[in-house]
Amino acid sequence: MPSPLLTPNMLQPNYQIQINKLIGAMKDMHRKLLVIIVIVFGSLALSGCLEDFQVTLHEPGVYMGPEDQLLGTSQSSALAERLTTGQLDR
Amino acid sequence: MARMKFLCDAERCIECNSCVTACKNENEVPWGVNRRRVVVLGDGEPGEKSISVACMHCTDAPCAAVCPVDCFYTTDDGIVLHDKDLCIGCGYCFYACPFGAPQYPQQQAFGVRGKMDKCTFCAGGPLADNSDAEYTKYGRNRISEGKLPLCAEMCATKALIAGDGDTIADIYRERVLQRGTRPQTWGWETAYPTG
Repeated sequence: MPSPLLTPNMLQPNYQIQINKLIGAMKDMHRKLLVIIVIVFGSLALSGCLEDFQVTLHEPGVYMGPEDQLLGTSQSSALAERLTTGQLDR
Repeated sequence: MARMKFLCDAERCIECNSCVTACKNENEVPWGVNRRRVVVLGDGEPGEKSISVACMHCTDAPCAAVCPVDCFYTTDDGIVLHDKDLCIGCGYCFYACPFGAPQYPQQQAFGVRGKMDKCTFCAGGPLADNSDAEYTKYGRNRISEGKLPLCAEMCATKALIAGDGDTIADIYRERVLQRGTRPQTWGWETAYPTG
């Protein structure tokens, strides 16, 4: 009967090496993952401390709100008619 | 271009407060805020006079001059309005106004006043005309509908008149000539200085 090429004794060190390598790779992966998590959360946390260096400058006395539609739609004639018909002495 | 103004004829005002009621009703003015009020001069004395006072929409509005956030603007018709989204309720306009027009809806701790509220000449604010948001914040926008402020339109004795400054000055001049009294355009010299 021919002897087998690979015996359990022969395989054992290989398995051990493979397992050790796997454990090492997993540790590396965990470390990398931890570093990535720290970077992501750290940058998110620090983003709250960011300052906007662009200061809003405008001329004092200049209205900065939304434009009123009334500015362009004067009802002058209608109002004048209303004044002369409604507010004169009876 | 018309220049919108208020004029209160002190000889005609009978202190009925209908202008105050009309304003509060039309604009749903919150409790504690009076955009318009009737002031009695020399109350109880012979010859007492009553005048209806609100924002006079000054030519060179002092409220706008002192506002630290520049929330005031003047329309083409000369109506002085403000943006409540910009207002910080600092109260500077109240101290600057010679008519006591700016009002504040809240009275809380640490001097929190809330957004300033004042007469808008029934012209609403910078939001979309006749929108719900505009009505809630500023009240009715009658000007965009071609109507004048309700306080003036409701005045039974026609003491309070609102509209183009030239026209109401003509109306008042006719009255003074008929009465033979001297003109008393209360607040006009302050709000609309000449020269």
